[in-house]
Amino acid sequence: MNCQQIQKLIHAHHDGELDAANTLQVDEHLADCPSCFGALRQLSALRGALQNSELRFSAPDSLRRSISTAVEQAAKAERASTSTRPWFHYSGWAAAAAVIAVSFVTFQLSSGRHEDRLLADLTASHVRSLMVDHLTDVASTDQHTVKPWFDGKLDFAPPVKELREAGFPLLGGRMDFIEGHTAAALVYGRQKHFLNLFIWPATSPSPADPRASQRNGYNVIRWSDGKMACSVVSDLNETELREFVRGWSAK
Amino acid sequence: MEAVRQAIASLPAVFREALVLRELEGCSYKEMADIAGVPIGTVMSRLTRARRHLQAVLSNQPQSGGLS
Repeated sequence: MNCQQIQKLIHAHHDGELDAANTLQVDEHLADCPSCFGALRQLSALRGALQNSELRFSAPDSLRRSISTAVEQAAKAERASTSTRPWFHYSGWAAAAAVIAVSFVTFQLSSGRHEDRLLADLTASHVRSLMVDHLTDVASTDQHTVKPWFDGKLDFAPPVKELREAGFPLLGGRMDFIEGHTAAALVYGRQKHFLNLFIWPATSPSPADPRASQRNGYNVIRWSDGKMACSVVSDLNETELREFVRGWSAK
Repeated sequence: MEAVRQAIASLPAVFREALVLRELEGCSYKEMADIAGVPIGTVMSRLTRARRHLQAVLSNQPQSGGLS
């Protein structure tokens, strides 16, 4: 990497937001380049100046107390109104139904949050791969070059398929991290668009049909064949992205 | 410290937001993107420009590019 490329990455490096491969390259460059190292020190100095507690405003204790009091009062009022309902006291079934309903809602909420985190992770990885010019670790349109490249780097063998005939030429692959585990990222092209297909071992043996979502303007389709969980992310429209999924599944 | 406060206050709102969320609130890029409702790339570019502006103001250097 040259100094100009490093300058683009140095803020993300300073913020601990770079992926492992780029962090390594930036560190190597910084060790040999006094100018870029100086830029990093300036960022640290700026951060130091911004850490001064005088720049922070804390809410007064009285505000915290008045909010706590208001919450307690609201909770008491809620309890009082609930205890006057006779069905709650006399019907064990109703109480059990309420517990099941709450558990279900909690489960829905927690799985919703997990889904949200996963979507955020997928789109963030897609964006980073385009932004820091690190789309591929192995650049090849040949599936027989890309697939062996993953050997020894992952504890699973991701399927690699060539989809040129379907209009999605394979461009290469790289290692990535999704939700704390390693994943294979296969990169496909569609005219001027890029698609990142993330693959990792499925946690459930049941296949899951393709499901489309949107995040920050990017389309994401996730599915599983019961062995591998797949997620494709792109700024392509949903129709073309579904076309990719059909092409992939048909191979 | 007043100089730093003034320098932060002189930033246009979107750049000030990025800087404060990162440096004072310790948010990740993803959290910042969610809060501001913009892509992570926009967060990164706003943060970079906000820091450059602040560095220039605090060292009394003329700025190479405006923030608008």
